[in-house]
Amino acid sequence: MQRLAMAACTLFFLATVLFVLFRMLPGDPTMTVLSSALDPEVQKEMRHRFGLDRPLLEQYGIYMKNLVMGEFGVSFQHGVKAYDIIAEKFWNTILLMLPSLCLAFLLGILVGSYVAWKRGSLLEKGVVTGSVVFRSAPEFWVAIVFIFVFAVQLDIFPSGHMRTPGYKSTGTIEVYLSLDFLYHLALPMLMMALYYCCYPLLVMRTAMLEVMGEDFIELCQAKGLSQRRVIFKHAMRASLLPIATSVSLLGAYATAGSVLIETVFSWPGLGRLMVQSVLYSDYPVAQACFLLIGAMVVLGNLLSDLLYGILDPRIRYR
Amino acid sequence: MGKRLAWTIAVVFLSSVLGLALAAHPEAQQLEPIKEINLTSFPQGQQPWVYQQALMIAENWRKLGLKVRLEPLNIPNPLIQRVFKDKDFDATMMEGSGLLDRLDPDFFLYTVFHSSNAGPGAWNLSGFNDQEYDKLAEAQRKEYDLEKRREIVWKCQEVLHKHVPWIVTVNNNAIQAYNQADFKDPAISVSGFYDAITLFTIKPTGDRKIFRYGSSLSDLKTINPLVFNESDQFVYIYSIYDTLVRINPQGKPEPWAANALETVNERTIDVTLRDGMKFHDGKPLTADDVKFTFAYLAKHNPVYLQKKIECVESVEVLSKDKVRFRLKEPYAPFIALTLGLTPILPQHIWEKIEKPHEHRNVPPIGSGPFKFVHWRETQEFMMTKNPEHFSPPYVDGVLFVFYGTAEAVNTALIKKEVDSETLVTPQQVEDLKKLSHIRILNLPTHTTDGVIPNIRRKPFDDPKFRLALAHAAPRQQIVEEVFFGFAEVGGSMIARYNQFWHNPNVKPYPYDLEKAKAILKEAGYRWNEKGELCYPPK
Amino acid sequence: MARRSRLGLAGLLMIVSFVSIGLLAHVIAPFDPMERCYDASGKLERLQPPSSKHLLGTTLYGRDVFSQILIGTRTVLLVGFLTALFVAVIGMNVGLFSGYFGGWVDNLLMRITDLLFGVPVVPTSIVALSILTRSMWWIIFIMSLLYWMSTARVVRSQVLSLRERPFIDAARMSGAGPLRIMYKHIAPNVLPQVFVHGAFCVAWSITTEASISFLGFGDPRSISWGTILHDVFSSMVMYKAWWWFLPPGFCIVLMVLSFYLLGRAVEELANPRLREE
Repeated sequence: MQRLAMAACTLFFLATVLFVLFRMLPGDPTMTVLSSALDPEVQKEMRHRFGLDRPLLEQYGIYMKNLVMGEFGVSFQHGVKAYDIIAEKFWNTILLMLPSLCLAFLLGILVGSYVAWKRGSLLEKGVVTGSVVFRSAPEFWVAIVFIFVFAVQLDIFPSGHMRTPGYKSTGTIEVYLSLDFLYHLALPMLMMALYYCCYPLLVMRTAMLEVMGEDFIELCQAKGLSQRRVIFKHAMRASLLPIATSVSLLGAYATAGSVLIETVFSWPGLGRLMVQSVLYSDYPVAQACFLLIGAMVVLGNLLSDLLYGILDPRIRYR
Repeated sequence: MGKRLAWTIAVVFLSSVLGLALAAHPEAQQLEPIKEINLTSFPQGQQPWVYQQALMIAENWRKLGLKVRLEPLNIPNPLIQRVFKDKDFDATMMEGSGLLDRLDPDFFLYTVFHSSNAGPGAWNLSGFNDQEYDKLAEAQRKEYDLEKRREIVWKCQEVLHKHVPWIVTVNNNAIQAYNQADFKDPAISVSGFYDAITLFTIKPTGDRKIFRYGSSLSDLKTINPLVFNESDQFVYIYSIYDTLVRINPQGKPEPWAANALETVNERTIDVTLRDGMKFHDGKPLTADDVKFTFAYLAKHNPVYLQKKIECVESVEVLSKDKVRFRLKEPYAPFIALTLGLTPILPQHIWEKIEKPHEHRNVPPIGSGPFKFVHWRETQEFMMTKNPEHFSPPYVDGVLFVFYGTAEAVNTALIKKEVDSETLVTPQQVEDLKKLSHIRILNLPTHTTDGVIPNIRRKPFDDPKFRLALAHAAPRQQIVEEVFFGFAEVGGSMIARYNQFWHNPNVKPYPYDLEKAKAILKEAGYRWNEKGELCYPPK
Repeated sequence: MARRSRLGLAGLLMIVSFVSIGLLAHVIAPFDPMERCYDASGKLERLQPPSSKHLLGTTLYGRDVFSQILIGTRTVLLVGFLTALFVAVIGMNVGLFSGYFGGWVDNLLMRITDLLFGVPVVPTSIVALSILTRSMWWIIFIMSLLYWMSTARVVRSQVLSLRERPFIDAARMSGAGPLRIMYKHIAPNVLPQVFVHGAFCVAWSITTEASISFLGFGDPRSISWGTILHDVFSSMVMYKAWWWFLPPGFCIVLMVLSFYLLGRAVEELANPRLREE
């Protein structure tokens, strides 16, 4: 499985780059606390606690070993394990991204195929133009505009955060299934779905147009099958390949974009945690976030490649 | 022979004319322009009011003919490295936060300006090194008599004002807001709602007896007294734990867990504990716990408290409720800082903990006016009244709600979801004023902003140059434009708010660019044809 | 004229206008972008909505938004063009070497390409910038290092097909060395594709720089549309000042769109098979 090896290599590479960046370039990671980290005694203590006083190569070895075991170290800022801090935020990000991407794909496929069906109409031109223009806008700005219109001006949705603070939840499941959570999820999900659906929309449309132009369809028509059935059955299956590969690509892209969107919506997820930990030089947490995001992107690309390999009929019959 | 003589006379005459001409026009000599000044500052994204001040300072310095390069540095990295550790800057904007433990003048006078603190990592950023001043700063530290100490403190301020190792711009105000419909009479100290004393004194007016505190933190980072290090954690720690002494809202230390202090000699202080104090788990608080606390902390390097306890040489138990502190040397701030800020830990719990920095400390057991109830991470932290405390609070409990951002707390306060907001920004005041249930407190503080010149570098090593710069800071404009009016023009390193220690004879320098130029000219500085300010010609 | 070409022309015109604005920014701008503006009575004109004096209103500290956007145009264009230039140079060279030499060179370069595809740009940039200094040059450099791969791949596939063409054989026969063949004979043929990807690169880098600056990692000494958005976001009065956050975003949309349309138009011209039905 060459692809798998490639993916693992990428992760290894990312981790190493991170290590190099954080350890070798200027900037002492113990400089996080103003009053105390300056005292040479306390500094020595902190360096020892974070293992920074050992030789570089040994640090690298420990670092890699820890990573493999899922041990991300102790947060400089919080004094607790980075893993604990990240675990919850990770699920918050997943819970935002998965529904949004599902919706995005649903929208993209439906609208894309409908618009291909209505080829040449004003609607098609409008939707395609709209998608292109929409995609030209930076995602964080679109998020701001959405909040401005729907939350501030129209007051339909809350302007951010994951739940109303002070909300008393009895259990983890209840937290995420509550109406309050859904209320806060609605706007970011809507925004992400509309923003990210443009890509599958255009892919679907192109794929369907290609299929629709083939003799294959004409043959089916000649056989007397209803046009609609023909389209939706055969064309859809044929466009499955580009859509499938774009799923994981979009997933990768959206993960990286979560850094921006979560910041605008104050959504307590991995992306926002990453920005904050980088800003405050909490290196263990920043490293862990980055690796996690990187891993998700790499996974997305890997999945995309694998799906391509599985679904491409030409490759299958080789 | 006549010809040669004539030539010689002509040459001598011409050269003297030339020489006179040159001497009469000193500007025609080579002038060395002052090279570009690197002014570092906190960035716009983290402390916009400091950054905006830096912009205004840079503008004004340019009007004097200086070239200024503004360099924002992120805090903590790389600002702390560059400015505190390496001292690699020409001038830096700085904010000396007005914290509770800085009401004692020792911080702003000794820690920031004594020459021994100019090393890497220490607070003497300017590198100020003046023997006369050093002696004064050391003297105020050892003087236990308040009046005598005040005299020395006043003198320190005058010397600093003359030498200008910190060009003071303004003292920020802290704006606090709370729900006056349901609560009243909080005693507000300089730290506003960050100080636990507001929670001890606030009274409910109606049926609702639990005070909801809006926190802009996304979560309390730690409740471990050895790990906490930021002022926004004070309110949790000092509600649950008692200290021997408490700094009251006016800045004066008052007895708290101790009910009597006796200065045996200048290095020995006896402390008598109150009777009947108990920890939240019912076990009694005795002198042994006090002795244990100081020994344990000294052994384990607590992040914030380290500096506060290092003056203590030993703690001896004299009787069940009496403790004797021996100091390494006479240290006047001992009572306010060490006794006032060291929480008393229960020996029976902490003696079993070998790695205190990794100890989560939930539930925290102290002896304070509030007892811990629960901590739902990133959501809320709940404490309830400790009725057995010698000074129980008026409210039944406090619920801290974590909102993550100041903006969210503001919205919550408006929507009546919480009862307080600390650190209201000037932008938010407009909206809050419209609401009748909210009371806004505009409190002067002793937070001191300004520019710190690096005296180790030219031309900042020239006191006249620094004096000129002190006249080039648009203080009133900063108050109005950067702080929306919520600040005060600052003069002395000990702010006006700190009434007892402030020297009223030390007045802010006026903003007068012409005077600044006059001072520079008198000191020998010149401007070249390009308008650049140049060093005095040799 | 085909629709795509018309759109491409429209894009080109917009680009030209932006470039002229960028060049003339200091002349056109009514105020210095960092100047605090006062009204007749000496009061700071804080957070003013658009007026005849301030076409796009003022910021929280009384600065003219319109002037900031004009000056920002220069930065944005500079970042876009430079990044595209570096990406073109790196991508083209990698593609040329990879496609022409094949073998282990190709393998190695393509592995590196694959590796870099997995690197998320914005998170990497903010991590790198927090450790290095935050300057526009580093942003350009990091973006270039993370974006050349698609250009390289496209160039490589073109080179692979061109490599077997008779005219290349002829050149080889006449004794031309590989470098000469690559740069004199093959390169000119891949230039159109490089240009197309260059246009897309400008569009991408403008958005990416805006994102990086928005998060607070932009160059504090220069003004770009991203830093304006960062200022308004961190001012905490963002949703009250629509004149401050809407225009920079609109400008980004226009700029990105124009380069995208230009790129697509040239792509169609270079590759007639791509004509739309």
